[in-house]
Amino acid sequence: MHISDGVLSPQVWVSGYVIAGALATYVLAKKTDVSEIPKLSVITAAVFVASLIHIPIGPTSVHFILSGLAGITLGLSAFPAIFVALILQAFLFQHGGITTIGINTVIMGLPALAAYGVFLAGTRTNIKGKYAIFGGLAGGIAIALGIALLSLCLLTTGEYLEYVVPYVVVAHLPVVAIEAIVIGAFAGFMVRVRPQLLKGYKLREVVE
Amino acid sequence: MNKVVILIAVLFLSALLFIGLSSTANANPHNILMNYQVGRIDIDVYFSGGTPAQNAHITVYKPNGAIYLEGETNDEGEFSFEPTVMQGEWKVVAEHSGHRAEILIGGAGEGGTSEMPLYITVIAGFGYLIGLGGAAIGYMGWRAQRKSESGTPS
Repeated sequence: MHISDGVLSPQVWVSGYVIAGALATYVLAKKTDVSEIPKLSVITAAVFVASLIHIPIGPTSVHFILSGLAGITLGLSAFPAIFVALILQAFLFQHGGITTIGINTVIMGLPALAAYGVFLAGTRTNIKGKYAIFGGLAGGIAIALGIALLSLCLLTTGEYLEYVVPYVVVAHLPVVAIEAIVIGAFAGFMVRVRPQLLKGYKLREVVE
Repeated sequence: MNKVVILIAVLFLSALLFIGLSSTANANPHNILMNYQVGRIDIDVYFSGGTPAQNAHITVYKPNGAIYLEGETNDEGEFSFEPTVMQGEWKVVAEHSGHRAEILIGGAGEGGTSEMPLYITVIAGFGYLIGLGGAAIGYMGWRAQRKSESGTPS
């Protein structure tokens, strides 16, 4: 899900930097709690490592993204966390492009924020097992939205839908399923052992 | 009569000289000749981890920068083409689902891009980020210590 240098038109990648920069600045200006940084580092490290592990699926190769995990654990801070992870990947390991750090952050970061929204809304319901259910939903939605954004970017390059659908959309469907299961299980487990790690958890709440 | 013979002889020798000069390389048995033919260039395209990139879009650029040909890799991620000349550098660009790689071909032998082993990348990246977390914890500790020191009556 990392677009390389030289693929997108300058209009698209410059817009990516503008959106990513504005959102990251807004989030960091809004909340700069130093005590959150260790948690932020660990989750960023998890996102970083997950996206380096490639799985061959059919005619292509995909990797885990864990943007949903970042969303449900970091909330709004997931966006700058993904920004940092992508900067490290691009500069230190040549993974993804440098001109495309902004747009790649948008592709992975906006879905993380959406996952946070879904999870937060879900935790306010009275459904039994809501953390696991909405955690899984958040994990799956984050990837699906990421695929949609990535496909949209590729279509701006003149890529045909007949190419984007099998190599981007279909190839990532197993990732949607796997991450939904993993993040759902993670949220269900964490709410029992360390609920403070999850956004939207309230201490007064009785753990189901 | 003698003049006629001399004229014929001069013409004959001139003709021989002309023929000889115009086909020196082929006529001279003491020369060693050499030709070469440029063969195919084989390209391998694969994802990090080694999965072949099937149907990757390939664009081959001539040394003057003009597009020579375009095509797609096969199921093994392979693509071959025959360059017309070997002077200058040929550029081959491979694109697949937002990923892009390019390679310059001009020298002899094999070449290509390489990647860092996965375990080194993982350890290094994890180390950097945990280091950042550690630095933040250190800062928090230092701040808490200062706070407790300033709160302690002297």
